[in-house]
Amino acid sequence: MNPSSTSTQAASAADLGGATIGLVDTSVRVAVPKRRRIRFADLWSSRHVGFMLGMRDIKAKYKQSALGPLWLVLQPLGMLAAVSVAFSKVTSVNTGSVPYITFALVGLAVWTYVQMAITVAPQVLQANYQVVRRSPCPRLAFVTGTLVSVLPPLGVVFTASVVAAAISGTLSVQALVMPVLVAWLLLMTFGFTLLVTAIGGRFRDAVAMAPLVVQAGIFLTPVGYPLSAAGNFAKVLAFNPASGIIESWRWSLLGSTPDMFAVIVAIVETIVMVLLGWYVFGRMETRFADYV
Amino acid sequence: MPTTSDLNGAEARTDLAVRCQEVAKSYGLGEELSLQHTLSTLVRRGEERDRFWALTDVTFEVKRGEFFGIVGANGSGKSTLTQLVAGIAMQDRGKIEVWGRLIPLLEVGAGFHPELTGRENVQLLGTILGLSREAIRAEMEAITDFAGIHRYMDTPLKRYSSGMAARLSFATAVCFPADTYVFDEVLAVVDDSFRDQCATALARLNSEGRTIIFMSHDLELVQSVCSTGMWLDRGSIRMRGSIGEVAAAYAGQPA
Repeated sequence: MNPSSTSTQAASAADLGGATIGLVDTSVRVAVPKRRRIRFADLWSSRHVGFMLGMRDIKAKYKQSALGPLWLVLQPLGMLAAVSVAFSKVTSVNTGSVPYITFALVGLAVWTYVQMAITVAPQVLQANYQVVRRSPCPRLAFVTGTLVSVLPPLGVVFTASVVAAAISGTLSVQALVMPVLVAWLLLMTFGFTLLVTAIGGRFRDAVAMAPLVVQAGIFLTPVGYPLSAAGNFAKVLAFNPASGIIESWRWSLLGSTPDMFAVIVAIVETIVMVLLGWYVFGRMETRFADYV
Repeated sequence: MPTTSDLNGAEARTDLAVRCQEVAKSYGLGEELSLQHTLSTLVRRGEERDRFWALTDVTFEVKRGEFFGIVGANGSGKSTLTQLVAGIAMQDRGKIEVWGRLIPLLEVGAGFHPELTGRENVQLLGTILGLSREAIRAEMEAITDFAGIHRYMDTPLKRYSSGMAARLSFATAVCFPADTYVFDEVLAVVDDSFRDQCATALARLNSEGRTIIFMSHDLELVQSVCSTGMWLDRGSIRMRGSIGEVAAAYAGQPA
C-alpha cells in the first residue's frame, strides 16, 4: 500500500446520509491490464453508438454542400459512365445477353461499398482523435460506424442494379439469395475494416496506401468486366475477395455462371479476415488512446 | 464501454465509487514510428525506446458521495489517471474498480463534432456515454436550460463561440444521470458566472449522494467545492486527506 493513501480521510457526504440514494447503475467495472478487453457482446451493446457515429458522418458529409445527398446518385453515375467507356467502348468487353450497363452496375454496387470502406477505415481513429482519447466511446463503434456511414451509396447502386436487372429481364428465383449475399459483403467489409481501422490508427502507412488500393482496385476487380474475360489471369484476380462476391452477385441478379474458384477463395478470405481482424483489433485497441 | 467488466475479484461494495490499487502507466518517448526508426530496427533489433512513467504505484479509493479534488502540477499524471478511471486507456499494472455509471468530462467539447448541431451533438455524446434515446430526450430541456443557448441548439457547433461550446459540453455532462462524475480541468475556459453555476450544480449532485472527482489547477476553486482530495506529484500520491490540508500542503510546497 502506498503510505500516503492511508492518511486521514475527511468525512464524506456518503457518511452523512447521501448513501441512501440508489446507484444509477449497479454494475462494477474492474479493469486490470489485459492483452484484450473487447468481447463479442460489445458488438451488440455498442450498436447504438455505431449507428450514431455512422449517421454523424453521413450528415457531416453533405453539410455545406450545394448538391448534398444528390452526390449519392451523381458519384456512382459518373463512375458508371467511366467504367462503361473504358471497358465496353474501349476494350469491348462481352457480357453476353446482359446489357452492359446492368452488368456494370452490379459490380459497381459491391465495389462502391468496398472502396469507400477502404478509404474511410484507416483514418477513422485519427479523425475521431478527441473521441478516442477523451471519451469512453466503445471502440467497436468506430468499425460499425464506418460500415453504416458508407451504406447510403451501396443502397443507391444496389437498388439501381436490381431495377436494371428487372428491366433487363434477368431476375429469377436466384435473386432470393441476395439478402445472404449482401450480408456476405457486409461481413467481409467488417473483417477488413476491423483490421484496417486498428492498423491505420498506429501505422499511418495504411492511410497512404488506401488511395493506391482504390485506384488499382477498379482495374483489378471485375467491376467492368466478367472474371472469365481475364483468361488465365482470372485465377490471380480471384484472390481479390471482392471478385468472388461480385461473381456471386451476378449469378444471383443476372443469372451468369459464377467462377466457383473465386467464390470459394472469397469465402475463405472472409472468414480469415473476420478472425484476423477481430484478433488484431482487440489486441491493438487497448493502446488506441496512447498512440492515436 | 471499452472496458472489462467481469466480476472476478470485484467486491460487492456499495460504499465505494472508485478504487485504484498499485496503478502504474507508462508511455514511450519520442516519435512513435518513422522510416529512420524502421530502417534502424531492421539493422539492429530490439532497441527499446525510453519510457516515461506517468503514474507509478498509485493506490487510493474514493468513497460514494465524496467530492474529491485532485491537485498537481502539469505532468503530475492527473489526466492519465482520469483516462484510466474512465476506462479509456489501459494501465500497465494495477487494478481499477469503478462502481456504477461514471461520466467523464476530460476535455471541453470532447466527443462533439463541429458539423453537427448542438442538439445532434448532445444526442451523440449521450449515446457514447451509454444513455438510451429516451433518457437523452428527457434531459434535453434541462441541458438547453443549463447551457442557456436555446437559440443555438439547431445551429452547427462550428458556429459556436468557444464559451458556448464549453457551456453545452458541461451542461451535457452534469445533466445526464450517473453515480460518479469526473471533471478534468474543464472550468478554465468559461466565464465566472457560468463557473459559479457549474459549482452550484456539482454541489447539488453531490448533496444527492453522487460522487464527484474534480481536477483543477485553480486551488481556490478546488478548495471551495471539494471536501476531500489528494495531491499527485510526478506520478505518485504525495498526500491524501481533507481538501484544506491537501491544498495547503500543495500551495506551500518548496519549489
